[in-house]
Amino acid sequence: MKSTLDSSINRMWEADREWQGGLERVLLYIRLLNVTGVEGLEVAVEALRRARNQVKEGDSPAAVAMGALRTLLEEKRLLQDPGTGQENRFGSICPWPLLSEKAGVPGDAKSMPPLNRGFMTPDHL
Amino acid sequence: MSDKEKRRPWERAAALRRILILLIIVTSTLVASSYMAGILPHRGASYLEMAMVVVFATLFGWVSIGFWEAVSGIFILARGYDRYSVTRMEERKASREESDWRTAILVPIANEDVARVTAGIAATYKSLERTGRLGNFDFYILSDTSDPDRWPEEEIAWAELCRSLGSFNRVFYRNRRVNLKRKSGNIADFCRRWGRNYRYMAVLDADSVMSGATLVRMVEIMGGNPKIGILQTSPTAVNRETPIGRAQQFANHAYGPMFTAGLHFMQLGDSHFWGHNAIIRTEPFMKYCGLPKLPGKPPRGGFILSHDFVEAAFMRRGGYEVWLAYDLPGSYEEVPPTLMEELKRDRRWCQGNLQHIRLLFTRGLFSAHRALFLHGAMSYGSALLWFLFLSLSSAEAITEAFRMPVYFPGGRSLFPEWPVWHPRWALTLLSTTALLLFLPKLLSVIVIAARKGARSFGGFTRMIFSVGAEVLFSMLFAPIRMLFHSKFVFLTLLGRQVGWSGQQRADLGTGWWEALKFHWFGMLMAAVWGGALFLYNRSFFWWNTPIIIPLLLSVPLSVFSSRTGAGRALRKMGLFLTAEEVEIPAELTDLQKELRYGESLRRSTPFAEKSGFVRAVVDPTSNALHRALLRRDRRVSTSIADRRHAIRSKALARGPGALSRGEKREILYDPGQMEKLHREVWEISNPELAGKWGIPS
Repeated sequence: MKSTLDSSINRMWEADREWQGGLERVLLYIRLLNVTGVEGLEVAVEALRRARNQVKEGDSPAAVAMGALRTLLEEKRLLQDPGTGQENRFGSICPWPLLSEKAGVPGDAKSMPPLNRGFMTPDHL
Repeated sequence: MSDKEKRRPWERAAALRRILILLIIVTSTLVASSYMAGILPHRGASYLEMAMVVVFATLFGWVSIGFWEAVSGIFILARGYDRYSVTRMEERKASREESDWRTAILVPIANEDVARVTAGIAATYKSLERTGRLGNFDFYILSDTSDPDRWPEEEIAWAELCRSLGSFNRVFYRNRRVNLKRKSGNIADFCRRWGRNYRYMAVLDADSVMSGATLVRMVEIMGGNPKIGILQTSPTAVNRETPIGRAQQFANHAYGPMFTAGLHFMQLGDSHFWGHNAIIRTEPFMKYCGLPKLPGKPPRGGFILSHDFVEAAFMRRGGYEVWLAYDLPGSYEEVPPTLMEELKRDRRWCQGNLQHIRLLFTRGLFSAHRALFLHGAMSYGSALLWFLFLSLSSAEAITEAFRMPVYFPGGRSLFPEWPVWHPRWALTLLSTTALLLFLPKLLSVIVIAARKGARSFGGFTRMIFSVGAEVLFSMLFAPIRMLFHSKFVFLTLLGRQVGWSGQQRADLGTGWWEALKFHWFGMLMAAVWGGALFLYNRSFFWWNTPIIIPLLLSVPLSVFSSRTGAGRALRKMGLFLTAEEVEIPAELTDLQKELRYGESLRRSTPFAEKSGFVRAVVDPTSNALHRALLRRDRRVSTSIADRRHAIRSKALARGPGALSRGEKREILYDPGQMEKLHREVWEISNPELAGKWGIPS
């Protein structure tokens, strides 16, 4: 009886520890995206809530939490779907829409200007 | 009459000046060589002594060039001007259209200290901003970085730089996938892509800073003198804290103006180009300065390493002039912080300069530039000659100890020939050589004092002590440099080439073991040589102790001269102070502020302590930035796709440390793989593996 209780407690503790790891990852990811303050916490809580509902036996809570977070961020347009090319709200840190081609903030910021090709041929000795 | 045939006034003056100095050098060398022959036991009659005299003549002539260059410089500095100074020349006023000139400021880098590069750019940017002329300038960070950790760091630093300065669409970044022809190829790539957008381009080094006022003035000079193809400034050495760095900085400040004024005196419009802190007229550069590949294999053939000298020669051949603005301030650079870094840099320069000998007889080059090629080769070749001279003289000294004198070398004669040493002549020759080496320094100090410039060095007394300390440093390090330069020349002539890895520019210090590995051979050689002389010709041994002792002490000299603590102690004592430390210019203040800001940003940013590759994989914004800067995701062959998939799997299974440099680079080039890796890394369930990526578990 006692050993069954101990192993149950250990499993619960282990599960809590894994969820704690998932929470830390989610919070760190949100911080890296500069979603700060209350909004960041709300996103984290919602992501973990969804993850708890989605997790199956054998799944890693941290992996499920991150998957849920990405889906949530895409819904909120805090991460962009591939190929839409639209601006997102991360201009203060990352001027380029995530997962798409280079385009800019502010306006048309680019890492390189348009080409204006010329010739420079090596001399012959 | 064609342009070539019409000689400009400065060309006539240059010809006269050069002929005069050449005559003086040749005359003095002949006199000194005859003295040398006279002091030898057989008066130069034996083969060994003839070889000694020839080598001595070459070395004396070489040292004389530097001496007369210095004297010419003193002449200009004492007068306060030169009538052919480029900063005083202006053929015409720049037209209204020319006020729309655009200038690109190029910063070619390869595996450099990212924080230092961006801090230097920020300091130059802010200085330009203060002039109100920033709108006419664009900055280009031209990266040839191959290190898979530094490359993403550069991207992040560039984005942060643009964000903090508000300089998007003014500061650009390009990483070149194939490092063809190294720095010259990097610049040529810029020219082909964007050169037509800019009338001028100013080239900076990774550690350069230039003041905005200087850049604007350089553009004005170029605008007012359409025949100028390249305008080179004389960079001032700053920011070093190690003893050897500070000694070189001091020498650059105290004697540099004299030597550069002297260079200008002789070269005028056929001047040097040092590859950085200079402004170039883009169109003729693109037309005339494409560098060929030399026939044969490296190091003597292949791509031209020291491209700057050759570009100057080609520019001149194209009909454009190359000038040294010796009196234009506001141009800064950093010298190597340690002896080892200096010698590693010299290894590359030696190989590059010796390649120029292949170009000596290229058609169309001006003789002044052929002379510069020879001068550049002799900068290192003279070390080998010095080594040869020491070897020959030591051989002579030792054989004299064993050889029986031959009193009647010519056969039967009533009159014997006594082998005689002339110590007074030897002392005269030694004094003359010392005069050639040290008198310019003394003259420079006198001119500084006369123009009340001693304050820039902490006052007259401190300046004198600094000169004394610098002379001591020179004497201690000259033999070590001689030995290494001789080795570099020898290896290059044997066909052993050198790689072009990035320089360590920070004051990180040299360890004892590292120094021992680097210097052991020189120390051993000095011990054997000194031992042999001590045994067989003790008087000659004592003559050579100023060379033997520093070689034996190479390791401690290398280590202690690299210690920033020792350098700071010298500074506290008031030694090696320079003008920029007495009154710090705004650009250098900005540089320090930017470096501190970068450091504090680094400390407060998550993953900042991780390698660039890990950041690019893990940090969502760094990952997105990196993917945005790559070319469009392209379809690749099945074998390449499979290989990249395998690399990604390996990274996920074993962590970033399991990937080789090449594997990291390969996956960094693929935006699709980078995106997948980023997603999957955050979903790693194994805590230990997640920890390798810095992800909490």
